[in-house]
Amino acid sequence: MTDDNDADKLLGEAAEFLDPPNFLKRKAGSGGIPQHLLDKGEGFIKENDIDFIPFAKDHIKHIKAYAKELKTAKNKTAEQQYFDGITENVMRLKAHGGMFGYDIMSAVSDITLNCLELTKTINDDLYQIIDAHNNSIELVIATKLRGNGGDQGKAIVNELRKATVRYHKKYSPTE
Amino acid sequence: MPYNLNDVKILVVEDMAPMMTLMRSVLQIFGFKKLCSALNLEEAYEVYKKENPDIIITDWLTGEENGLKLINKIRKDEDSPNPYIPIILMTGYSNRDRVEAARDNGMTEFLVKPYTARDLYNRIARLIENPRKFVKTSEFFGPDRRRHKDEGYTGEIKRKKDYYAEQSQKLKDAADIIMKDRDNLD
Repeated sequence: MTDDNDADKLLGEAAEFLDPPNFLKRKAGSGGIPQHLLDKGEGFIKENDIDFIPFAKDHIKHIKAYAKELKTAKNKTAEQQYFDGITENVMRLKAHGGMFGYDIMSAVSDITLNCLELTKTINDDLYQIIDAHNNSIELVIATKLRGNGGDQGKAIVNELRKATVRYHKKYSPTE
Repeated sequence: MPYNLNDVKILVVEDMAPMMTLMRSVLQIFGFKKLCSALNLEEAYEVYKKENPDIIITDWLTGEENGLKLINKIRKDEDSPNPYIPIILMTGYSNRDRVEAARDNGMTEFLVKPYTARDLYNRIARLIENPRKFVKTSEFFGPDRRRHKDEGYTGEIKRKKDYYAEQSQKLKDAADIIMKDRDNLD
C-alpha cells in the first residue's frame, strides 16, 4: 500500500514525531473480541435481509444517464464530471452489492471499476464496457442471482473480464 | 478476558442508511455500547465535537464534501477536540491513488468495501494494539504514513487477509492468464 520512499519524501526535512497517549487501549484492555461474537457478526452480514435491488436499479439508472451526458459533453470539465458520476455509481455497486448478498454484483463492478480507474481513453469501446457492465448487473437483478452466482455468475464475470482485458490490451499495450 | 468495549465510543459516518444499520448492528454484536452516527460531513463534524468519540469510522462519502475533507478537518481545524483520533476510512475504491490520497489526508486505517465482520474487527484491533505515531511537518499532520516492517506485515500481505481483496486478486490473476493466452481470445 505505502511506499516508504514516497512517504519519506512527503515527510520533508523538519518532521516532528509525536507519540499520542493510547487512551483507546486503556479503555478496551486486552484479549480481543471472542470468536463467537466475530462469527455472529459475520452471520449477521451474510443473513441480513435488506433488499439491495432498488439501490442497484438506481445506480444503473444513474450510470446510464451519466454515460448519455458523457457522449455529448461540451468540455473537459463536464466530461470529467460525468465520468466521475459513472465511476462513483459503479464503485457503490461494488461496495454494497456484496454486503447485501449480491457478491456477484461486487465482482462484476470491481472489474468495471478497475477498468474505469485505469483508463485514459473515453471512446466507443469504453462505452461498450459500460454497457456490458450494466447488462450484467441487470441480468443479476432480473434473475435474482445471489451469492457468487455459481456457474452463471462465473460466466458473467469471465465475459466482462475478457472484454476489459481486450480493451486495455488495445489502448494500454504496455500494461 | 476479552476487550471491554462498554466505554469505547464510536462515531460512524455513512450516507447509505442500510449500510449504517448494518455497521451499527455489527459493532453492537462486537460489544460496543456507545455509538453515534452522522449522514454527512457537516453533521459528522458537529457530532464529533459534541461527543468526542474514541474512534471514527467514515465512508468516503460523495462529491466535494467527502470523507477526506472530514478527516482533514479533524486533523487540522483549531476547534477539533482530538486531532489524534484514530480514523478508519471505508470505501469501494481500492486503487493506489485513492489509498494514497486518504493517507495524505490523515486516515489511520483503510477498509475496502465490501468487508467482512473480521475485516472490520482487524482494523479496530489494529487501532487498539498498534497505534501509529503522528507526524507533524509544515505540510502534513497525521499518522505516520510509513508502514514499518517490524509490524509483521506488508500492505500486500495485509490485503490478502481480506476475503474480498483476495477474491479480487484471484480475478486479476485470472486476467493475467488470459493476457498470456492472447491467441485464444476472440
